[in-house]
Amino acid sequence: MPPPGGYRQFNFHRTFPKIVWRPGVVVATIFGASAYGAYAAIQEKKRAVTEKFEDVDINTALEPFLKAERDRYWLKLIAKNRDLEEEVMKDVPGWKTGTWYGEPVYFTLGDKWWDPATREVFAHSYQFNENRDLLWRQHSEYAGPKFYDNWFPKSISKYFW
Amino acid sequence: MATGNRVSENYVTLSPVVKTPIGDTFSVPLSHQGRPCGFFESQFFRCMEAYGAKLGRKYCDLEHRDYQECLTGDKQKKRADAIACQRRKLYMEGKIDAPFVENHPEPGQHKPDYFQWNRSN
Repeated sequence: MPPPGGYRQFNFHRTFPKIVWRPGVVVATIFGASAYGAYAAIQEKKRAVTEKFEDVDINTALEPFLKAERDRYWLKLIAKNRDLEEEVMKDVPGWKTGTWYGEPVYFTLGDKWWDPATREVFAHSYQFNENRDLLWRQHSEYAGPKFYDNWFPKSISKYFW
Repeated sequence: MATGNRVSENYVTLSPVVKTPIGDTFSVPLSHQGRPCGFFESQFFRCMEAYGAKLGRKYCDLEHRDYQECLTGDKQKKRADAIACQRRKLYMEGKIDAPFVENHPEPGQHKPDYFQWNRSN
Protein backbone atom coordinates (compact mmCIF):
# COMPACT_ATOMS: atom_id res chain seq x y z
CA MET A 1 0.00 0.00 0.00
CA PRO A 2 1.31 3.53 -0.76
CA PRO A 3 1.89 5.81 2.19
CA PRO A 4 -0.79 8.35 2.91
CA GLY A 5 -0.51 11.26 0.46
CA GLY A 6 1.13 8.96 -2.08
CA TYR A 7 4.80 8.42 -3.04
CA ARG A 8 7.01 11.45 -3.59
CA GLN A 9 7.62 12.58 -7.10
CA PHE A 10 10.17 10.51 -9.05
CA ASN A 11 13.14 12.56 -10.38
CA PHE A 12 13.49 11.48 -13.94
CA HIS A 13 15.99 14.28 -14.93
CA ARG A 14 19.67 13.63 -15.55
CA THR A 15 21.68 14.34 -12.38
CA PHE A 16 25.19 15.86 -12.16
CA PRO A 17 27.60 15.77 -9.23
CA LYS A 18 27.98 19.00 -7.34
CA ILE A 19 30.87 21.15 -8.65
CA VAL A 20 33.23 21.74 -5.70
CA TRP A 21 36.10 23.39 -7.61
CA ARG A 22 34.54 25.91 -9.85
CA PRO A 23 36.71 26.66 -12.89
CA GLY A 24 36.72 30.36 -12.28
CA VAL A 25 37.91 29.89 -8.68
CA VAL A 26 40.57 27.35 -9.69
CA VAL A 27 41.98 29.53 -12.47
CA ALA A 28 41.96 32.57 -10.24
CA THR A 29 43.69 30.67 -7.42
CA ILE A 30 46.41 29.32 -9.71
CA PHE A 31 47.05 32.70 -11.24
CA GLY A 32 47.05 34.35 -7.86
CA ALA A 33 49.43 31.82 -6.33
CA SER A 34 51.75 32.05 -9.33
CA ALA A 35 51.76 35.80 -9.21
CA TYR A 36 52.49 35.80 -5.51
CA GLY A 37 55.18 33.14 -5.97
CA ALA A 38 56.88 35.14 -8.71
CA TYR A 39 56.73 38.26 -6.59
CA ALA A 40 58.12 36.43 -3.57
CA ALA A 41 60.89 34.84 -5.63
CA ILE A 42 61.91 38.19 -7.09
CA GLN A 43 61.92 39.77 -3.64
CA GLU A 44 63.97 36.86 -2.29
CA LYS A 45 66.46 37.19 -5.11
CA LYS A 46 66.77 40.91 -4.47
CA ARG A 47 67.31 40.20 -0.79
CA ALA A 48 69.94 37.57 -1.53
CA VAL A 49 71.75 39.85 -3.96
CA THR A 50 71.74 42.65 -1.41
CA GLU A 51 73.05 40.36 1.30
CA LYS A 52 75.82 39.06 -0.96
CA PHE A 53 76.69 42.61 -1.91
CA GLU A 54 76.91 43.58 1.74
CA ASP A 55 79.09 40.57 2.52
CA VAL A 56 81.46 41.33 -0.33
CA ASP A 57 81.47 45.00 0.56
CA ILE A 58 82.30 44.30 4.19
CA ASN A 59 84.98 41.83 3.17
CA THR A 60 86.51 44.38 0.81
CA ALA A 61 86.46 47.05 3.49
CA LEU A 62 87.99 44.69 6.05
CA GLU A 63 90.64 43.21 3.77
CA PRO A 64 93.49 45.53 4.79
CA PHE A 65 92.81 44.81 8.43
CA LEU A 66 92.46 41.08 7.90
CA LYS A 67 95.68 41.04 5.91
CA ALA A 68 97.45 43.14 8.51
CA GLU A 69 96.28 40.80 11.23
CA ARG A 70 97.40 37.76 9.24
CA ASP A 71 100.80 39.31 8.54
CA ARG A 72 101.17 40.25 12.18
CA TYR A 73 100.45 36.71 13.35
CA TRP A 74 102.80 35.36 10.70
CA LEU A 75 105.66 37.69 11.63
CA LYS A 76 105.22 36.97 15.33
CA LEU A 77 105.33 33.28 14.56
CA ILE A 78 108.52 33.65 12.52
CA ALA A 79 110.13 35.75 15.23
CA LYS A 80 109.20 33.22 17.88
CA ASN A 81 110.66 30.45 15.74
CA ARG A 82 113.90 32.39 15.43
CA ASP A 83 114.09 32.88 19.19
CA LEU A 84 113.37 29.19 19.77
CA GLU A 85 116.06 28.23 17.29
CA GLU A 86 118.61 30.49 18.94
CA GLU A 87 117.71 29.02 22.30
CA VAL A 88 117.86 25.39 21.16
CA MET A 89 120.86 25.50 18.84
CA LYS A 90 123.15 27.67 20.95
CA ASP A 91 125.30 24.66 21.91
CA VAL A 92 125.67 23.33 18.37
CA PRO A 93 129.09 24.30 17.05
CA GLY A 94 129.08 26.24 13.82
CA TRP A 95 125.34 26.81 13.80
CA LYS A 96 124.09 30.23 12.81
CA THR A 97 120.42 31.00 13.25
CA GLY A 98 118.49 31.14 10.01
CA THR A 99 121.19 29.30 8.06
CA TRP A 100 122.48 25.80 7.50
CA TYR A 101 125.72 25.96 9.53
CA GLY A 102 126.39 29.44 8.19
CA GLU A 103 125.24 28.74 4.66
CA PRO A 104 122.19 30.87 3.88
CA VAL A 105 119.06 29.19 2.61
CA TYR A 106 118.91 31.56 -0.36
CA PHE A 107 122.09 33.16 -1.65
CA THR A 108 120.89 35.82 -4.05
CA LEU A 109 117.93 37.33 -2.22
CA GLY A 110 119.86 40.16 -0.57
CA ASP A 111 117.40 42.30 1.38
CA LYS A 112 114.39 40.69 -0.25
CA TRP A 113 112.16 38.77 2.12
CA TRP A 114 111.13 35.22 1.35
CA ASP A 115 108.77 33.16 3.45
CA PRO A 116 110.19 29.93 4.89
CA ALA A 117 108.83 26.59 3.77
CA THR A 118 106.20 24.78 5.81
CA ARG A 119 108.62 22.17 7.11
CA GLU A 120 110.89 24.85 8.51
CA VAL A 121 108.04 26.69 10.21
CA PHE A 122 107.04 23.48 11.99
CA ALA A 123 110.57 22.57 13.05
CA HIS A 124 109.72 23.13 16.72
CA SER A 125 106.35 21.41 16.59
CA TYR A 126 105.11 17.90 17.05
CA GLN A 127 104.38 15.98 13.89
CA PHE A 128 100.66 15.83 14.58
CA ASN A 129 100.69 19.62 14.90
CA GLU A 130 102.07 19.90 11.39
CA ASN A 131 99.65 17.31 10.10
CA ARG A 132 96.78 19.22 11.61
CA ASP A 133 97.72 22.29 9.62
CA LEU A 134 98.45 20.40 6.43
CA LEU A 135 95.16 18.50 6.64
CA TRP A 136 93.18 21.50 7.76
CA ARG A 137 90.96 21.33 4.72
CA GLN A 138 89.88 17.85 5.80
CA HIS A 139 88.81 19.18 9.15
CA SER A 140 85.17 18.89 10.04
CA GLU A 141 83.36 22.17 10.31
CA TYR A 142 83.60 22.24 14.07
CA ALA A 143 87.15 22.05 15.37
CA GLY A 144 86.63 23.10 18.97
CA PRO A 145 86.55 20.91 22.06
CA LYS A 146 84.46 17.77 21.61
CA PHE A 147 82.25 16.02 24.13
CA TYR A 148 84.44 12.89 23.91
CA ASP A 149 87.69 14.73 24.60
CA ASN A 150 87.96 13.40 28.13
CA TRP A 151 87.13 9.86 27.14
CA PHE A 152 90.49 9.18 25.49
CA PRO A 153 94.03 9.98 26.64
CA LYS A 154 95.83 12.73 24.74
CA SER A 155 98.29 10.25 23.22
CA ILE A 156 95.42 8.65 21.32
CA SER A 157 93.00 11.50 20.77
CA LYS A 158 95.55 13.68 19.02
CA TYR A 159 95.34 11.39 16.01
CA PHE A 160 91.67 12.00 15.37
CA TRP A 161 89.86 15.26 15.56
CA MET B 1 120.37 17.86 -33.27
CA ALA B 2 120.02 20.48 -30.62
CA THR B 3 121.28 19.42 -27.22
CA GLY B 4 119.20 22.02 -25.44
CA ASN B 5 122.20 23.00 -23.25
CA ARG B 6 121.39 20.58 -20.49
CA VAL B 7 122.11 21.60 -16.89
CA SER B 8 124.16 18.83 -15.32
CA GLU B 9 122.68 18.86 -11.83
CA ASN B 10 119.20 17.98 -12.95
CA TYR B 11 117.31 17.10 -16.06
CA VAL B 12 116.65 20.66 -17.12
CA THR B 13 117.51 22.17 -20.47
CA LEU B 14 117.88 25.86 -21.13
CA SER B 15 116.20 25.57 -24.51
CA PRO B 16 113.89 22.90 -25.84
CA VAL B 17 115.65 19.81 -27.17
CA VAL B 18 113.14 19.36 -29.96
CA LYS B 19 111.59 22.47 -31.37
CA THR B 20 108.03 22.06 -32.53
CA PRO B 21 105.43 24.61 -33.61
CA ILE B 22 103.49 24.16 -30.36
CA GLY B 23 106.61 24.05 -28.17
CA ASP B 24 106.31 27.68 -27.14
CA THR B 25 102.65 27.17 -26.30
CA PHE B 26 103.40 24.32 -23.94
CA SER B 27 106.55 25.80 -22.43
CA VAL B 28 104.68 28.48 -20.49
CA PRO B 29 102.43 26.19 -18.40
CA LEU B 30 105.38 23.82 -18.00
CA SER B 31 107.45 26.60 -16.47
CA HIS B 32 107.10 27.83 -12.89
CA GLN B 33 105.83 31.27 -13.79
CA GLY B 34 102.89 32.17 -11.59
CA ARG B 35 103.89 29.59 -8.99
CA PRO B 36 105.86 30.12 -5.78
CA CYS B 37 109.22 29.45 -7.44
CA GLY B 38 108.61 31.54 -10.54
CA PHE B 39 110.70 34.36 -9.11
CA PHE B 40 113.80 32.17 -8.77
CA GLU B 41 113.21 30.62 -12.15
CA SER B 42 113.10 33.98 -13.86
CA GLN B 43 116.16 35.14 -11.93
CA PHE B 44 118.06 32.06 -13.07
CA PHE B 45 117.05 32.38 -16.68
CA ARG B 46 117.77 36.10 -16.71
CA CYS B 47 121.25 35.34 -15.47
CA MET B 48 121.70 32.59 -18.03
CA GLU B 49 120.53 34.95 -20.72
CA ALA B 50 123.09 37.51 -19.62
CA TYR B 51 126.10 35.17 -19.39
CA GLY B 52 125.21 32.57 -21.95
CA ALA B 53 124.94 28.84 -21.58
CA LYS B 54 128.65 28.17 -20.95
CA LEU B 55 129.72 31.08 -18.73
CA GLY B 56 126.36 30.95 -16.96
CA ARG B 57 127.25 27.51 -15.63
CA LYS B 58 129.81 29.29 -13.49
CA TYR B 59 128.30 32.69 -12.85
CA CYS B 60 124.68 31.64 -12.33
CA ASP B 61 125.47 28.86 -9.90
CA LEU B 62 123.96 30.68 -6.93
CA GLU B 63 120.79 31.51 -8.84
CA HIS B 64 120.55 27.88 -9.83
CA ARG B 65 121.05 26.77 -6.25
CA ASP B 66 118.35 29.14 -5.06
CA TYR B 67 115.99 27.88 -7.72
CA GLN B 68 116.65 24.29 -6.70
CA GLU B 69 116.26 25.16 -3.04
CA CYS B 70 112.91 26.78 -3.74
CA LEU B 71 111.77 23.75 -5.74
CA THR B 72 112.94 21.04 -3.35
CA GLY B 73 113.32 22.82 -0.01
CA ASP B 74 116.18 20.45 0.79
CA LYS B 75 118.20 22.89 2.86
CA GLN B 76 115.17 23.94 4.86
CA LYS B 77 114.28 20.29 5.46
CA LYS B 78 117.81 19.64 6.67
CA ARG B 79 117.61 22.64 8.94
CA ALA B 80 114.28 21.53 10.38
CA ASP B 81 115.56 18.00 10.89
CA ALA B 82 118.68 19.29 12.62
CA ILE B 83 116.58 21.43 14.95
CA ALA B 84 114.23 18.52 15.68
CA CYS B 85 117.17 16.20 16.37
CA GLN B 86 118.72 18.74 18.69
CA ARG B 87 115.43 19.17 20.51
CA ARG B 88 115.10 15.41 20.99
CA LYS B 89 118.70 15.22 22.15
CA LEU B 90 118.21 18.02 24.68
CA TYR B 91 115.05 16.30 25.89
CA MET B 92 116.86 12.98 26.35
CA GLU B 93 119.58 14.80 28.27
CA GLY B 94 116.89 16.36 30.44
CA LYS B 95 117.70 19.95 29.52
CA ILE B 96 114.21 20.76 28.28
CA ASP B 97 110.89 19.54 29.64
CA ALA B 98 109.27 18.53 26.38
CA PRO B 99 110.92 17.65 23.07
CA PHE B 100 108.76 20.09 21.13
CA VAL B 101 106.63 23.13 21.81
CA GLU B 102 103.05 22.32 22.63
CA ASN B 103 100.50 23.65 20.13
CA HIS B 104 103.15 25.97 18.80
CA PRO B 105 101.85 27.50 15.59
CA GLU B 106 98.27 27.81 16.66
CA PRO B 107 95.72 26.96 13.98
CA GLY B 108 95.54 29.66 11.32
CA GLN B 109 98.89 31.29 12.12
CA HIS B 110 100.86 29.48 9.44
CA LYS B 111 99.98 31.63 6.47
CA PRO B 112 102.89 32.12 4.09
CA ASP B 113 102.22 34.36 1.12
CA TYR B 114 104.79 33.57 -1.53
CA PHE B 115 103.04 35.63 -4.16
CA GLN B 116 103.37 38.80 -2.19
CA TRP B 117 107.14 38.51 -2.76
CA ASN B 118 106.92 36.72 -6.07
CA ARG B 119 107.89 39.61 -8.30
CA SER B 120 110.65 39.42 -10.83
CA ASN B 121 111.62 43.05 -10.55
